[in-house]
Formats: sequence, structure tokens, C-alpha cells
Amino acid sequence: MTAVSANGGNRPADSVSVTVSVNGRRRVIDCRPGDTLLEALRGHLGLTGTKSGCEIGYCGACTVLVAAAAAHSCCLLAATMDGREITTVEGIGDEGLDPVQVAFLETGAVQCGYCTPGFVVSARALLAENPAPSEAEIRRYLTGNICRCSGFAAIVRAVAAAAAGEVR
Amino acid sequence: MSSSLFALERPASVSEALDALATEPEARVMAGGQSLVPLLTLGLAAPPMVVSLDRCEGLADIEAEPDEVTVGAMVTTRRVELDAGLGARLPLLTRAAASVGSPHVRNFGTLVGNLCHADPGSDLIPAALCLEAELEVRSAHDRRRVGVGDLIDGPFATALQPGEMAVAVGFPVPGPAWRCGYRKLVRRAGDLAMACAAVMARVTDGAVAEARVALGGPLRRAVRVPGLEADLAGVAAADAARTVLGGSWMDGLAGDLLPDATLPADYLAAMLPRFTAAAVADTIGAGP
Repeated sequence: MTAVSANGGNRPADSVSVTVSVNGRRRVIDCRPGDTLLEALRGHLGLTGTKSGCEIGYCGACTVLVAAAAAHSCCLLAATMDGREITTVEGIGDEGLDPVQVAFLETGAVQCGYCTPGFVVSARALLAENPAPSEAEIRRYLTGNICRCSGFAAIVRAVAAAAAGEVR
Repeated sequence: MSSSLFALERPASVSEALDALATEPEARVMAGGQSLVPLLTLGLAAPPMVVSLDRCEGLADIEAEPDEVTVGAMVTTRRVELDAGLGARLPLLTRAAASVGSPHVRNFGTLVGNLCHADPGSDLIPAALCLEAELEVRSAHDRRRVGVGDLIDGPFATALQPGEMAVAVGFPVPGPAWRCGYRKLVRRAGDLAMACAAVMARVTDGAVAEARVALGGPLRRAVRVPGLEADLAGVAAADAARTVLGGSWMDGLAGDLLPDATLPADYLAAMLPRFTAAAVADTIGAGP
């Protein structure tokens, strides 16, 4: 059995070493068994674009991609992520800003900005799955993200604009 | 911030997982982690050991037999939602699956994990109750099948014993004569249900031949409602919703109702019959 507890028995291991790919780069994270992926990204790797909000899988501020799947990084244990490909908001966009990010800027879909990275990553996941979503499909997909400034209308418009290629 | 300290086991096989569980009666099994990780973060669960099934072989299959579909413990809710075969044969299950949380949650959370978490607001438990699903439960030395109705004891409490884990859930395929529906009451999309109702019915010659109704939400646990099912049997489809409103089946729920400050008892007494009538009308037709 591959137990993460290196010390045998049921005593908690202090540290677990996990190798992941983050934004295309191989990274080794030394974390505790209870550390979430969110904590590992922000605390261990310094990737603070991913925001910490509710920490219980409700607000979506911490959204990242695991392979192509949108994930609440607060609800995944970092120690279970070894070998996985993770994309954070820092890794969105091939060169410069992604069309989704441009659409957020051009549509004025950013108010305080705290939820924005999570929405951008979720929108990226949606458009990879469904390049031409209806407004209803956009709204349904973004169930996992909350904007406390309540700028949802502009956010939905931004995602629709990105999908329609209405950004430079 | 999560501060819980526990031993994390990541077994490669079911037998290794069961061996790990046998060493620690307080261990928690983790499939997708979408319920357990928040509980660890909040300090509502502090197990000495977490057995993660993420590396476990043989738990990610959907097996479709002519009369039964078996879904492994690591099959995500998202896969259940989008699987065309399940959609054709168990539409109630896929509809309930699509109502769980958000795509983020469904991408990792699993059907079996949701059932075993026993949240009273689960979307999937009422569907599984109507479909008369059975969990395949194993321990290091034993295996048994447990009906979903016998699995759940109360809020977040199941009949699973220390050392046991559910490795799959089996659904008898109801056949094309059954209609189904799922209705959910929430304040915000993606919430756990304030109330939810799963309904299945066979209607022949304009009358209800057989009905199954399960309710979840403001209850200690989601339950089938046999009193209501008996009331519905034989009534004209056009009278089904009226039958829900006119019956005394709510009396049978008294021991399971969980009123609180936001959903007080008088509100539940007024709301649940109307909500259930609407769910029955969705499935059988002829709303009030």
C-alpha cells in the first residue's frame, strides 16, 4: 500500500511530497496531509491569483482546472493531486491575456475583482466543453461562482462575448 | 485554513483500502472529497485517518446489465449526469445528478459518496430511494448489500460499520412504462435542497397503477412516503395532485420532520404538501 504517512502506523505524517504540473511546470510541493490544493497553490507556490473565499466549495473564488475540469481547489487535498495537471488563472491564456480575460475587461465585468479569477477559470472550462453556450448554459455553468458585488449580468455578457469572438 | 492532522492513506486497490479501514475504526473514506474536505476545514470532522480512493483500481466503472446498472464508488456525479446510457435507462438519476451543487462539485463528487454522506438535502438520495438502489458494502472479511432506505439512519449517519465501505451502488432498471420527475426547492442555484421530491409512476388507462415518492430536505433523512404512494395507487391521473393535497400522509412524516428557525413547523406543514403535489403533477400530470 502506498501510504502517505511515511512514519508507519496511524500517526499523521507531518509532511507529504507531491509532484504536480502547475501551468505546465513540474512543481514539487511539500505539504501536510490536510492541506488543500488552494493552500498549496497560494502558500507553497506563491500563486496568489487563486483566491480564498468561503473555503467550503461554495463561492468559486478558488476555481482552478484539474486536467480540463473546473474545480474548487479548497475542496481537494493537495496530497491527492500528484501527477495531475493543474491550471490556475496565472496559466490561462497562451500568450498575454486569454479572450475571456479581455472580454471581462472590455465588458466591465470586474468590480472589486476578488471573484474574477475564479469566474475567468470557470468560463475557460465552460468554453472548452461548450464553445457556443447559450445564456442559460452560461448561467447554469457559473453556479459554482459567486460575485458578492452582484455583477452577474456583466459577467454573463463577458462570457458570451468571449464565446462569440467579440473581443480583440 | 485546514489544520486537521490525520494519516492519509491512498491505497491502490479495494482490498488495500479495506485493510487500512480495518486498522482504524474512526477512519473516514474519501471519494471525491467534496463533502469531507469542507468538513475537515470547518473542524466538523477530525478523523485520525482518511482513506482516499483516488488511486484505487476498479471503482470507476458504470456496468450496464439488462436488468441492473451498477455505478462504482469513484464515478463522479458529472459522469452520471452526462452518461447517455444512464440518461436513457435511469432518467430520474441523471436528472437528480444534474441538480447537485455546481459543475465544480459534480466534476469530483461521486454518486456513492453523496449517498454515504447522508446529507438530508441530498439530491441523489430521494432518487436512489425511488429507484430502490442497493449499495454493495464490503469490509476486509465480509460483503453485503444494503438498500438505500436501510443505509441512512439520520443526518450524516449511516448503517455502515467501522471497517466497512460502499464500493458501488446497483439500480434495478425500472423499464419504459415508468415516468419520473424531480423537483427541488432552493434559495440559490447549487444549494442543498430546502425540500426535494423524487417521483416515479406507472400510468395506465389514465389512472395511476403504481407510484413511488421520496422526499428530502427538512427531514432527519430522506424517506419514501408509503402513505402517499398508497393514496395515489388507483386514482385518475387527473386527480393525482388533488390526492396529494387531500391525504393524511404527512402524519407519517412527523417523526422525521426537522423544523428549524428558517423552516418552522407551520411553514413545513403548509409547504410540503403543496411542493409534493407540484412534483407529482410534474410527473403524472394535471396540476392543481
